[in-house]
Amino acid sequence: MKQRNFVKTWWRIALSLCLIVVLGATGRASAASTPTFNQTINPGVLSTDILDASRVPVVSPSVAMTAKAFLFSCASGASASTGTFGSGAQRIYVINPNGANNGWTLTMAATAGATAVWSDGGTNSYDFNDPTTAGCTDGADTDTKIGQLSVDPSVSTLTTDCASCVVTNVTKGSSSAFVETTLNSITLLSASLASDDVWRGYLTGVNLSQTIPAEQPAASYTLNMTLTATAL
Amino acid sequence: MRKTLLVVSGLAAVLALTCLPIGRAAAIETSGIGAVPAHPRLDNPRTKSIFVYDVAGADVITDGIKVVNNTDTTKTLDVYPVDSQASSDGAFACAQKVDPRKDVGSWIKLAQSQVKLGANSVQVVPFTLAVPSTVKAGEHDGCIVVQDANPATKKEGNGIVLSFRSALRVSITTPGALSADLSFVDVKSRDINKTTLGISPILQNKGNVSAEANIEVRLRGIFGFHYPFASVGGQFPAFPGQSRFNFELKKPFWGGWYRRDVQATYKKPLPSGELSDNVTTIEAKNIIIFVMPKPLALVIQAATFLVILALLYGAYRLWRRLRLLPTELYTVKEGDSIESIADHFAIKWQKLAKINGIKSPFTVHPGRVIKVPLSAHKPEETEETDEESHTEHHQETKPPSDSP
Repeated sequence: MKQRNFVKTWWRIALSLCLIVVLGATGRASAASTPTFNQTINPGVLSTDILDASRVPVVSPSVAMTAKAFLFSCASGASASTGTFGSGAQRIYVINPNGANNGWTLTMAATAGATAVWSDGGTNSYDFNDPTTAGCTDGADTDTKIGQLSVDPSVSTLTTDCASCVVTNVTKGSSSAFVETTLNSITLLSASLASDDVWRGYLTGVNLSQTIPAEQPAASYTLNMTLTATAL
Repeated sequence: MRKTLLVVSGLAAVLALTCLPIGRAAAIETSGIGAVPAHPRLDNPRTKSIFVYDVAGADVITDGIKVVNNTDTTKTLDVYPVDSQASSDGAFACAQKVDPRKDVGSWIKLAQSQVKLGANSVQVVPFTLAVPSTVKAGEHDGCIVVQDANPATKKEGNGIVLSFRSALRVSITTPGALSADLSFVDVKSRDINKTTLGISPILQNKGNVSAEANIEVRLRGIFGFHYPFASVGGQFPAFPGQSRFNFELKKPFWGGWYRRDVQATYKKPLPSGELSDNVTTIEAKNIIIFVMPKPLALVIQAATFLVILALLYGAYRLWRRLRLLPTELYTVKEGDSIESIADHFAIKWQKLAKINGIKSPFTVHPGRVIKVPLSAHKPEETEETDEESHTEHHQETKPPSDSP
């Protein structure tokens, strides 16, 4: 009998506590003066960056080109210096969180414009946009340097990275080579008007090939390039 | 009572668990730095993403760009106008900051060239757009660019050092004789890999304004039927000059010969700058292309071909056996039946009926001449021993001597 009373008491206490918790929680909201909750969501903007597999921006992203030994002849075609732009660890991301609703492009160009060169930081340099087809002789441009960079996004892999977006209506650019004055920018991706307004995806495996002039002094050369995501 | 208490306690627990997460803020993923127009127009939805102006020479427009820092750190951002330039494939691109500004880039004056924005913050930068009085009729494009002023770039090493920027197109149309005249220059086709076929129409716009071209690429069977899976396209701006559009199609599994249909539809501009209601359709030259079957399809096709070949060969052999083996002729006598003749020549009566096309009820009338395979003829029953059999060699039914 005593035990029964104890259980009854315990349940009463438990019920009271539950009611206090539930009613207390709701009562607090209704008793207080009506609060105003403000929350601002900034507009989504079209952007591009190099992110890793966890979508963390890669610090100081760069694209390594294959090292070449000193050559008395020009290294072009199959013997040119090559590189792969975009990899599993360095993905070329385009993020469009409803910022560009009419389509967009992702292009690549030398930061210093048409007169940019591969430079070792000192006196040695060579061209990235000589107008000659093979880039092994100096063509009719503003400098006297030799060399040409080809970019082939058509062989790359485009992958979407959001639940609802698709690669339909996003096309990869053609294989192209930089040509001073006539082709200073190369298209990596183009999204049509009908592309997803909310889209996130990345490109990997863009082939690069750079002609190295004959007797180019041995050094480490760099070229600054800018990726631009443009809302159309 | 106990049951009621249990139910009430359960409900309370559910309520408590449901209500607890309410206070938590949902995590919002950052999306970098960029900008949107500060004052989009209700009459033109495109102005939500880019700047679009229909202005005359000497007009001055005041507007603003909303610069956004959606990262979790404070950023100093460069904001600057540049001219547009044609990228590869005739796509739209923005010139670099160092490039001389001669067109729209030189018409825009921003109130600030640099803004410092805290994490997840926004600032509107006003600008004026002063159109020169001598401007030519047509479309003029430029960009307003937002770029991190202090990017973490590698200072040394071997290779390409990258930086990033986000840009908005500034599209200005000045009145006059506006035209957009599209035509197909070429359509390139190529195998991208084992499963993908690349088709790239090249459009020429001889006009002075861009046109929104709705391009459609389809593969059709050579007899006209459509493949729903083999159709791609989209609406892309075709800027004055040449533009190339790269589409990728899944190769039809079975491969074969296909008709490649490429067409584009667009609306021409009216003198007022508005678009015509009429849709203009242009078509590229219709050509037939061969698509390599997928490896599995190739194996299946080869196996099927071999089976058909084997069946045909078997049928040929049978036909030869039945029709072309040397035969002799036998004239049916009174009292003969198909069975008795077959027994006489030691051959199955069904075979004899088949060779001679004798159908049910397999009656043979006296005087009818029937063929009997020579091989079936018993040596002791040749015409030398059975003169009344009236058999004779029928050379015409023998296979030619040079036959295999």
